[in-house]
Amino acid sequence: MEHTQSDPELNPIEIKKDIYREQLKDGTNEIFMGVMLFIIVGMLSQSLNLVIAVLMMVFILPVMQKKIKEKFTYPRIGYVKFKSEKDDFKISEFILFLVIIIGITVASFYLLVEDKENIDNIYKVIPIFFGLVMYGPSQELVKKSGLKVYWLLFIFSLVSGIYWSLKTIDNPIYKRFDAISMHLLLLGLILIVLGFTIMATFLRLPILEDEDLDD
Amino acid sequence: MIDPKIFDLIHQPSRLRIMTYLYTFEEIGVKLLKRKIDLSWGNISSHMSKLEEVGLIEINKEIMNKKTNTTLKITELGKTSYELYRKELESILKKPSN
Repeated sequence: MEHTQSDPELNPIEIKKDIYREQLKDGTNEIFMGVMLFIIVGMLSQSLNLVIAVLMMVFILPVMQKKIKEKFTYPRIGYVKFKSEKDDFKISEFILFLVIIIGITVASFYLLVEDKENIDNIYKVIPIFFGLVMYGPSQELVKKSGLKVYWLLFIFSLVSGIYWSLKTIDNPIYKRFDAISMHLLLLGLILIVLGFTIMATFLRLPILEDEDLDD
Repeated sequence: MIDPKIFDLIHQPSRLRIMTYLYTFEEIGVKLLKRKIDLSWGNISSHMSKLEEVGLIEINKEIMNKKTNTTLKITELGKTSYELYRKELESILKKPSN
């Protein structure tokens, strides 16, 4: 169905963006994205069991975010449940995205790493891969909220990915997962700090008045 | 073709805004709706009742921490009616004036 009205209050697409922007103001998205990156580091360094890590990312964190929203977000801006967006997810686009970033990573390997014979050295450019991966979440956040500022997440991630890859190349001090762990920890830390800063501002909002509907 | 009674019901500006919000989301809390549409509790309550009466929306109430939390949801009839309303309105607007 086409929505052509100029009045944003009658345009479902604009309404959705507006409410999504409001929901982002609690900072929980940034905090939980940061925590997820920490969990990935835990998995890579094998200090966290794979099953526990997956359980945390798939079940525990979403439930925790929901509980936090119920306690702090909804009382301040109200409750909303978005429609499931499974229909919007195109597997072909996702595969194309993966092929492109894997292609760039492999090209980086051949361009930057001297010892190309040893394919095992691919780990040296893995931070570039993770830097590029953030294009996905950034693009999703920009699309849903209409806020272009979320591109900064991708730009920072890419710069950090390139930096840590270059630092690892020809530097034997770095072991297999050191650079990628540093990249993810840095990104995760920035997201968590940013999230708590946004949340601190959000919590200053007053609680909405109680309902007073006629029965 | 939409039932003229339902067309008139949705055509009222505040109810049209309520229906647009409900059409956009799976479920919405009445406090958020009130804040966005800027109506008094009395007005929003009256519009909700009218929309519920003809089966366009569902109203759910639950008590949490001794407070009532009301959420609204559009029904299948509500979705179809809203889409028909918009199509009809667009066709009216597209008709060349004499």
